[in-house]
Amino acid sequence: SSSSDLPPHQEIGMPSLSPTMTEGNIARWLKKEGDKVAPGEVLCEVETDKATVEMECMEEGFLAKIVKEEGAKEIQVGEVIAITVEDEDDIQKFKDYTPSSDTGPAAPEAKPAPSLPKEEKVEKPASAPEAKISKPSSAPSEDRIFASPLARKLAEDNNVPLSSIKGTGPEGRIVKADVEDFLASGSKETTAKPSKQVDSKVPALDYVDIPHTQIRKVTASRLAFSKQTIPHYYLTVDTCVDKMMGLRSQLNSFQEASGGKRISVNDLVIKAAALALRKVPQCNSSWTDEYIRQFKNVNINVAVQTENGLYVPVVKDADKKGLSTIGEEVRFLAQKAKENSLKPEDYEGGTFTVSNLGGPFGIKQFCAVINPPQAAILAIGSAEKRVVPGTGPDQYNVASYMSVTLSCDHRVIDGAIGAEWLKAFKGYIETPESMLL
Amino acid sequence: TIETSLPFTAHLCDPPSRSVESSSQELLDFFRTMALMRRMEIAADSLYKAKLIRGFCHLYDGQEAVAIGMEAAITKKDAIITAYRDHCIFLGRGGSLHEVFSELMGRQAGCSKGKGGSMHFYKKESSFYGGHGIVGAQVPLGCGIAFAQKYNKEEAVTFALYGDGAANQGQLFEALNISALWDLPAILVCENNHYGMGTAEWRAAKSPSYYKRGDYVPGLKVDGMDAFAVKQACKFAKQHALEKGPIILEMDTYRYHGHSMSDPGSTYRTRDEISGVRQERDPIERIKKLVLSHDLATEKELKDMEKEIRKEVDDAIAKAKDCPMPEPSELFTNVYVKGFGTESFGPDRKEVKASLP
Repeated sequence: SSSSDLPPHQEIGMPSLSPTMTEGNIARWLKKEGDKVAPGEVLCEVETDKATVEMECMEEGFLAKIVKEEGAKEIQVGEVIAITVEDEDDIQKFKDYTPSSDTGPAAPEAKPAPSLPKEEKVEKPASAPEAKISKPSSAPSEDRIFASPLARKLAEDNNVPLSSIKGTGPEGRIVKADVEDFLASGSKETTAKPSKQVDSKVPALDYVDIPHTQIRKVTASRLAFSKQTIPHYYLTVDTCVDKMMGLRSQLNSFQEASGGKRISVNDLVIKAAALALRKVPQCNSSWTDEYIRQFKNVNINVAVQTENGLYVPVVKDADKKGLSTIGEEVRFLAQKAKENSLKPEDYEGGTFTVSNLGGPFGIKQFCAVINPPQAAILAIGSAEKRVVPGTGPDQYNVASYMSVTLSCDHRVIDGAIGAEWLKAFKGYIETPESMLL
Repeated sequence: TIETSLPFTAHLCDPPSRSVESSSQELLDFFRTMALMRRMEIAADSLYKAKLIRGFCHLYDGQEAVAIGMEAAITKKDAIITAYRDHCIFLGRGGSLHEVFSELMGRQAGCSKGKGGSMHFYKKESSFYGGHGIVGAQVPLGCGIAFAQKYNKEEAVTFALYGDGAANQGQLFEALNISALWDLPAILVCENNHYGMGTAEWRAAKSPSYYKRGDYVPGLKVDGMDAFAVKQACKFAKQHALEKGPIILEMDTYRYHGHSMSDPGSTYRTRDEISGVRQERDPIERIKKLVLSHDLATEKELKDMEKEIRKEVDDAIAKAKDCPMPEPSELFTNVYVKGFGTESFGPDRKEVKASLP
């Protein structure tokens, strides 16, 4: 119902209880719906960014409706948390109240509460090898440049952009001497600044400072977050790929006959990984502080390195798609990534990531960094021919083996579960026709 | 005629009578203005918590009787100067809600053109010399105003307000000394709300009898929650100041809010203490009881009045929100000497640039 057909009432917004507070949580309600409230009484306890603070009531009246229940998190400052009325008889009328979008005079625009999402967003990168990223990068951010007023004036008078000068003052501040040095070096045009001679006796280092792009910053923070907070462990297994290779060349001859694109090893790996996730769904999960969310969709991110940086577009419902569809989607997404034209839906919603440094680069084996909030990532090494002992003495066979390494979040996946997943994966790779089942 | 609830306690003078003359109109006015002040402060609290008021903000709710009683005893020729808890004093001096909220939210229509904020309210035409941010510094200034009044033979007095925290500062005694020496018409009003920020008075003052602090200067202890006691005391003090020189009034009062917006106000005193004062001594409730017992209005009429006030405050806030912020170039007006015609810059030379007049 809208507020217009309701009796007079006050909307109590999430208060800003500290100068830096932008959102808060409700720790505890001390009053119940229907309770009488008087000025100075404590309504509820609010967790700010710094502390838990008691929120006092300012009006005399009745608490008609608690909009944000105990434990509600990340409520924007100004968002309605409760309704009070003056007349006891009006309490009932707010039973089904939902705050209107306009939160009343005292509230600045309140963002809608983050609804408990049914699907986790997955963006950004995880693996050290071919990590990936998703948000299109904007220009390097224009952070404030610290410079002394004199340096600022000197730079302005000489028409030198401050951004091209490296500061040596306190905390990297640009001081007059820096500007003078810069002018003396006469390199007004270069943006990446060559190092400057510090001491003639010490051979100077020659270097270029490359400013962070947005995508680099996101990659860095996501991967640092992953490696610092997720307890990683790694499981490696060798898979014989002879049968899979045989199947692939067979399929590709059909494809060529029908004018379709060729199926790659990577497509088969994605398919096998997707089916293994169906079989061992524990690996298709996310850790949160309250619960582990196990996904019913199998959405596989594929790491793509581009000139702009690392992207991880997602193949949705890969377990339900045929190999040619997977192949087409991966090619299409990779192309979009290279053109920097991925949309959020192209990289959000992944539940597992595959990174392949074997095929393109010949890396034998590696350990990838998990792409949070996912719980596992699969690192594909190269396939190589090996001599393996046969059944009798002096007998031997030659077969192709590919090493794959699964990185797991131990909070979600115990060692044996990870091993079970790899066993399932190995099964699909070594007996590819079982993928038909 | 109304009896004050508590007798006055006097130091070096004869206390005034406990019987105060009043009228039905005055009682209703007291109720209305105090309710308006209370409402205004509560609204400021909400605005602050919605981040529409930024920076400093000190609220007066609980202490309304001091502002209202003082105003009832004096004229606009008499000067008032106070510290940073100044919103209600400004309103009492005839300021408008629109000016208050505009100033609080930093809008052009504010009483200091939106450049002063909560602590810097002024109204020169009714001799309000301001809210001051420097604790205690307004008292010597107030004595200076009293000096001017005496020098110009204005037959007016100056009320210099300060808190129980500032009462322990040296400059107060220096100002008092010179005022007494020259018989200035200065009235030092200690609004004793019992906590200097979060420090209880007994922890900060060896002698919390602030009305006796003048030693050679007379003093009077007043129930600052009783508007009529305040009125009587101020009338008495004005008379005294005009005839004999300075006097100290200690107003025993209480603030419901914390010291400032970053003080929840419940860590150094108990909630029971606060709710006890609200129940026993609330200045608005006291007047309300008087109004009802003399049949000047019904409970319903008072309730309607409160609703009217609420609307008045909401309207003033809405109007203030529509008012623009000051121009960036206003940053420099009233700061530099006029007439040089030079350019001025903000901290970032590219952002604010103004030609000075």
